[in-house]
Amino acid sequence: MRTIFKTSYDPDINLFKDRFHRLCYVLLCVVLILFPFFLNEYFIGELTLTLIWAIAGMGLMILVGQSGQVSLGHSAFMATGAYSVVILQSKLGLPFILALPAAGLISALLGVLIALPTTRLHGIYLAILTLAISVLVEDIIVLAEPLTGGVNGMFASDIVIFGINFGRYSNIENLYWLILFTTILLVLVYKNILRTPIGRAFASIRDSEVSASAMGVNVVLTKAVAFGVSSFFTGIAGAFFGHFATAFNYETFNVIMSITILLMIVIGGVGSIHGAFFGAIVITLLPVLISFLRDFIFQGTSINLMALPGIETGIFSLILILVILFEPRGIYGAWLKTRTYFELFPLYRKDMFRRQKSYLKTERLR
Amino acid sequence: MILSLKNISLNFGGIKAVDQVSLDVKEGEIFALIGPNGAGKSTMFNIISRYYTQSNGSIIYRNESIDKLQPHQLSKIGVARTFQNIELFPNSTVLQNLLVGQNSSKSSNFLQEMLFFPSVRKAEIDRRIIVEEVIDFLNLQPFRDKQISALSYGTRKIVELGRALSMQPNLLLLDEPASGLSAEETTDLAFWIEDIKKIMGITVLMVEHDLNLVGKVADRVGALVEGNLVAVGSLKEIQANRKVVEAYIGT
Repeated sequence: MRTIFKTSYDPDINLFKDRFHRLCYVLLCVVLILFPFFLNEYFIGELTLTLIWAIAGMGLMILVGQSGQVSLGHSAFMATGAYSVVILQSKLGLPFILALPAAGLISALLGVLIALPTTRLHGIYLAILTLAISVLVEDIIVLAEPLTGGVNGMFASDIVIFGINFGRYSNIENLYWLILFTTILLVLVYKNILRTPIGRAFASIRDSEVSASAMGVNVVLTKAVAFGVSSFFTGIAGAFFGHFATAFNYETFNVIMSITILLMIVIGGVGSIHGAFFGAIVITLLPVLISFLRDFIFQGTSINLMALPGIETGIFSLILILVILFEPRGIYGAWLKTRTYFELFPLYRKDMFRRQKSYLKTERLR
Repeated sequence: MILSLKNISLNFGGIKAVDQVSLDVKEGEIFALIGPNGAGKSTMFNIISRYYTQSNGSIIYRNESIDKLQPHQLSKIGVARTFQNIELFPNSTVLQNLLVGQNSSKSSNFLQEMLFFPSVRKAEIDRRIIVEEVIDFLNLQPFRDKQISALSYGTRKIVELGRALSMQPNLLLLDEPASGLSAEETTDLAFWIEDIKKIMGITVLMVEHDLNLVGKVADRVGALVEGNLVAVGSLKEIQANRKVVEAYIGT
């Protein structure tokens, strides 16, 4: 067991707890950067997709995990990001390096516009409203045909930055590194949110709006900021998703995608950056695993599971049910418990992570 | 006068929760509001902290009307409050809870914070120093990194007091600070409230049922009965007042 001796307030503010902690993450980054040298194109593609999902997951995590609001409409922000980045490049001729942040900002603007009138809604009502928005966006895309290509959708050309090609099929390693770099930047932004007043404001409106306002937190404004930051992240993910898919239309960004992002962060562990990544890994690994298993079973027993089209959704739902029943804190929670078990061995107690429910919650002032 | 209420009334439908209450709180005193259940004490508090808007009358804080302010704007002018039923942020640590109290005094905006400008780190340390003083004052060191949901009720009450203090207010509104505390904890609380007045120079307005505590700390006491302020004075005078006795015991 390590004990950290603090002589100033800086260690509590720093990104990393100590040198060991920092070394772990530096090593992780190095391994991730070196991956393309060891893997074939198929796996680099899957890894790239994992990172894209992780960015989208972080976006929703800021909203759900940090500021306590639900959204079933994040496919709308993915769509906004994907369409904006392509339209900005093809119609306005912006270079990708400007179009990407612009696409994020357009999504953020949409998020703020949605948040301002809906800040009075909580829980299930907010979920229904955002669900409606995600359905609505599909229709808007079809209707806005001159801009979006309507039912036919759009083609995203290869990303080019300063003459370097980041194409999905020509230079997948480059695309992977580009997205990895963006992911690291966004993780840093997320970490900064957690250690500064804005993160505390998010947590305060999540836990008690009444006392948040008594502490001087402007609840309406903070909710709008949370929505804006969340949809910025998701818009960036959408922009990359569009370029990764190379062709997409209104059906790409359907309600299922919204639900997938939400399930992803629940399985990964709500409230932590790690959770978004664990969830993204599960979501991209699962179809691969299932198809391997399917082949394996077919070769061994000649039972053809291809005939069962719903098997992926079924297994995914099963995992979700198991997670909610047995590990509500998700994969990250399970990892925390395992780590604590070994750190404190043999002093770990079974109920260490069990918390008492909070005392009387006053709803009088709602 | 730090706070003056002028003819405050509030009706809920046909019920007069607060009826023509006028009240002055002097700079640097401890003023206690007492009264039977349903007398309108908490309603008064919610009017002062702007969760309710009075149907009549106005509130003057340091010579300026605060009738138009939103609840979250009060912290900027130096008014802090606690809640009767503890409204802490249960999924955060004690330290994080106290740091939220410093949120309103921040000079950075969320973009600077997201990019972690160098000034943000310095401001963060300044906030921490203020919060650490509060932790020292209330002896919360053992709980600094504990989650609220892992603390006992008594400790949570103290943390809530600490969170209000970390806002560095001029006027502190305490809504039943001693409810649910043991006799020993209440004694500690009495010392702290006195020190808040004497050492920190903060004016305290509190609602309290524990008359022992009120007798120990309050400079002046006001009795609310069915929305009316029937008497103001020392606790002895209040206890001798016929209307107050009637309200508590009946005729």
